[in-house]
Amino acid sequence: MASSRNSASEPAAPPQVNRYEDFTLGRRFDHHWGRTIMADEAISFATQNLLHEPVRFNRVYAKHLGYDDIVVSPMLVYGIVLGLSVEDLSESGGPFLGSDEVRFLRPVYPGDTLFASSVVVSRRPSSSKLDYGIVEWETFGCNQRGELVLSFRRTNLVRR
Amino acid sequence: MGATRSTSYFEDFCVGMEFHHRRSRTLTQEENARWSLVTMNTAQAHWNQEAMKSYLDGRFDRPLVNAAVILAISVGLTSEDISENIFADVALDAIRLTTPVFGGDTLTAKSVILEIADEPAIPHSGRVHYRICVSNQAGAAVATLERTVLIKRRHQWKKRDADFVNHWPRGQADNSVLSSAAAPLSKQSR
Repeated sequence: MASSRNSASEPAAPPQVNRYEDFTLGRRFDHHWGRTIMADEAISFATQNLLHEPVRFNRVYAKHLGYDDIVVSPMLVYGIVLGLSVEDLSESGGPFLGSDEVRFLRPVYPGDTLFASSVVVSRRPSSSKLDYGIVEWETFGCNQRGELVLSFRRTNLVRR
Repeated sequence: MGATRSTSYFEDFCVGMEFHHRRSRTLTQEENARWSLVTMNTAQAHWNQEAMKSYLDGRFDRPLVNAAVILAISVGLTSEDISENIFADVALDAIRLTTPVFGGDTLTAKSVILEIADEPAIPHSGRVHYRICVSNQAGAAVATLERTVLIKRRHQWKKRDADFVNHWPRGQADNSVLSSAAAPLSKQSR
């Protein structure tokens, strides 16, 4: 990946996969795609994953709670923001180990567009696998107004 | 009648309550590939069989299910018992995946309530913090996570929830319509 990617830069040339050594502490990645969520996929995601909370699939009920529309499942918001980060962070081929401090800060509605960015928080060599290291990132998800809707930490095994 | 049960308001939870959620869920590789791609997840280990030959020195012979899919199902398995009356999601913490999940695996969840608390900024709801433990069909621990949600309080919501809709058939007229429609069928079956 190009040596610097910050919020003011053009998207870097497409992917050469980042490895452990590329994740210097504090390095920031603005994941370049963005993703609009539609009502049908929000409802499909909720129903197919047994998210039996009517606020996810019943607009009359969501309005009864005071929301403008159905509230997109935070599990889908997490999945999309994580998904948007994968090309830059974790395509090198090492599994997800864990995630901490997932915070849901604002409701996401059908029609909203999510943008994701991440910062390298920590890294260390793997004691059991010499070819791999363990990297932790903090990832942020914003909507089309630039409002933070989600933040979380994620740890993966990353190839050296 | 409301869209949510009146037995799972904030007041119905206490610390230490345990739930063995009744339903389990079998995941397929098709779902893993679909939801991974729907969520822009470009890690081929979720949707490219051939890529598994070089992934972690070929130790897995099939694609691995995406963590976000495992977590969504994990939360989903607990939702009717615990969060049907949710007002808002607050947080997930301490998410750990401990056994790989493959297409064809069946996930089962149990939960324990860790903490309940007032939410001063949102007095009509209260905070419920619980731990979810998910196992596969062999009984191996697949995932643990903690979830914090705001659940509606009975005092503020029960009447409103009961009154808010009139979308279901009500009263004698509707019932007679339903039963007359059913009558020919029950005659036939005798």
